[in-house]
Amino acid sequence: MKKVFSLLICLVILTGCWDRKELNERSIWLATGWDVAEDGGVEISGQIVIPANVQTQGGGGGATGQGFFAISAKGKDVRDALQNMQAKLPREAFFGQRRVIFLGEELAKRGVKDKLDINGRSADVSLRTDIFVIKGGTAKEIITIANPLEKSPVIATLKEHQESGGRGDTAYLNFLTAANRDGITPSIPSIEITKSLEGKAAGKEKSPNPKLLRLAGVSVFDKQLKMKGFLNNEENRNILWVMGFLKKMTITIKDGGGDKSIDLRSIRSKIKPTFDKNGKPSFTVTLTGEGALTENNSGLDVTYADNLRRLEKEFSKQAQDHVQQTINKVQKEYRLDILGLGEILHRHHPNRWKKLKTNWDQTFPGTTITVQAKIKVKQIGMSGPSLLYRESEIKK
Amino acid sequence: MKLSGLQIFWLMYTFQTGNIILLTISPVMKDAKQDVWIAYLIASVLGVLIVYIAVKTALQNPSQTLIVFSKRILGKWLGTVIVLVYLVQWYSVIGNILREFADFTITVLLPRTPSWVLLLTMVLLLVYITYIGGIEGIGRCCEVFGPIIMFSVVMLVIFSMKDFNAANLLPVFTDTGVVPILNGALTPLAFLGESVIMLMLVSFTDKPDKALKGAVWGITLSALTVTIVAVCVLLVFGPDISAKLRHPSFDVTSYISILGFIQNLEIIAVLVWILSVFVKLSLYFFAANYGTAQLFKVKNWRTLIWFTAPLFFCLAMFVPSHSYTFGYMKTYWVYYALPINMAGIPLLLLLVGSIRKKLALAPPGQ
Repeated sequence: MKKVFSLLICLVILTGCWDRKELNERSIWLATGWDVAEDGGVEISGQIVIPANVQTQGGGGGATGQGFFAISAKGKDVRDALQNMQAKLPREAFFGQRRVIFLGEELAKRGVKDKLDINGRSADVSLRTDIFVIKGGTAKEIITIANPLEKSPVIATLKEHQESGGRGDTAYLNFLTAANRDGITPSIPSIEITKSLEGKAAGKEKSPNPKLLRLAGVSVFDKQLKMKGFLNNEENRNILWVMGFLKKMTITIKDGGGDKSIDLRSIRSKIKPTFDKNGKPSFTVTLTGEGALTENNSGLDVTYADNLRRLEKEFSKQAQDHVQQTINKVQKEYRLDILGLGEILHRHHPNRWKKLKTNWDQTFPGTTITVQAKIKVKQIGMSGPSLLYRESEIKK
Repeated sequence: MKLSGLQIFWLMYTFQTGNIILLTISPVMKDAKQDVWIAYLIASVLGVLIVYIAVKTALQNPSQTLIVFSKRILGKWLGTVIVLVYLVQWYSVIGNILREFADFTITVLLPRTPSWVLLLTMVLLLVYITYIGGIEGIGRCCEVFGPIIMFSVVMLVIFSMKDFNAANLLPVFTDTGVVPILNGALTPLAFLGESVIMLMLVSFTDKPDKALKGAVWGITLSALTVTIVAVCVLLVFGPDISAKLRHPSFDVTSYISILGFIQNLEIIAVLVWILSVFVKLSLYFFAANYGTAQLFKVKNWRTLIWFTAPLFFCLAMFVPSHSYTFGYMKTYWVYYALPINMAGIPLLLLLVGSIRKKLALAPPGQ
């Protein structure tokens, strides 16, 4: 009996399998681009690895070609477009390594609510993915741009995003969460095409001045998930700081006597709502940051505690003003609560929020938001005053 | 065929954990939102109560299974009706779980494999373990699978800690209220209540008094594990997204990314679930076969396997109804099986049984 059983089970288990797919039967897909097709459908573009060109082992020479190629097709929705694309793709597309989603500006403006379902339905992609709106361009262009340092440009994009202290690969989940809530409107990081050297025409491929992708701040969406506009990189950082996402940032004081910079590392934000007697909320945003003084072009000798304290005050004032300006801009220009202040009310004053939430879109632009920043200098680097100043010029 | 107390413990733990983690979190999030943890805690307490009652009931007649002692307690006819109620539950749930297993595996793992292959493989495995091992074989299996499941779950929870966002827990209670939370608690309770199968298992233990401890601890630990995972899902995804995903715990595993190279761990989640489903199926399969045999006084219960195995395969394969796949747990399990099979009947048996015992003890004529 046992033998019969074992035989039967072996028969079923060991006869190979329907879903066996060798790596060389798959095309590994790194990034997906969404654009509007002329007929109102979508145009999907993809960046696919060329496996032979990305092998790094095996000594010098060998793999020198481009590590990827781009492909696109139009369709009614994503799967339709992919079916059209498969007609010119010899291997089956595999999305398990898809790390970035690019949305063309036009598509973002028309709205993404009825476009992105595939990212949550398909089992082989993770919700952990980076997402960008392309400022002034289409995903199709973006997806062709190589990066000289990384074999796959998508990895470069991801790293740029993380290195600049942004949301990184949690961006899509952030967007989804915001889209599902009343007290916050969604925002998506944005990216644009630029070139390595500013102000010079980009060279051809392999020139020392190639085209590059640059983070371009953040795009603001409304509740219908239609894009309303952009905020630039500095404004984006200010907003991320308030929201508590920011991981690092440099603040520079413009000063006639020499500019100074601080690299902030330990960055925090605390938002405290208060209510007047009519129940109208106002917010105090307390921003804190600690970091190292990394540049001091003035004659100030920072080994003196008084000078440091003065510097800290100047940095704090600057941060406070800039963040305040950004918040005012968001309130006036976009009138959308991308900071998630409504969510703060929801979490900490749920009963008041029940009354406020129906009118929050109207209330938010007129809400008083006060910013306070406290910046601490923890390290000052290797010199006291700048080495370029004479003893008599140093301010002690 | 004898089970030790430790085997009962692992049996209950494995039987419950995987399935509850995969299938209950989303419906609970829908009702109880950020208060899922309250819902799960309530379900845990009641779930432990259910297993306690079930074991206590069975311990009144520690050497007999439900099939025999229900007739003894309630009389021939009512007893048979009760046994039939349970057999309906066991027979129907096997088809449903088999289908759930095929559906999930095809969706996440083997998109081109026809479902009959998966079903046939699983049914053959079930036949194998029940025919050769019987209940003891299943018990030994659990002693191996249980720790694997526990370890994997703990590991996955630790890996996802990096993505926790404590703000997702707030606000407590105000968004939901008592009714939604209790509503939410129903689903995990209906799964934890499956431990009522102890009515069958107690008679197979070598020392019946150890069964109570093993079963109660197994369910407690399982409920605790599930609660932790639910909180973990809430902390990573928040209530809105989790409620819309079908298997949020699976998505949390695929969301894990440590240092950019510990990724795509969802296969571990699938493993945990398949181990758990296998144990669940084999336990129900055993109960269905053994129970039917005892009811119809078939001498060797193993012969029944040759009839039931094809039946279950056909049930999962050829009943092409969406309500059997997607609506079974939501309606039959929560609104019929939970109040009747898991709570009502065991209580009835316990009450009537203890009254009968007292009457029997009391000297006649008083």
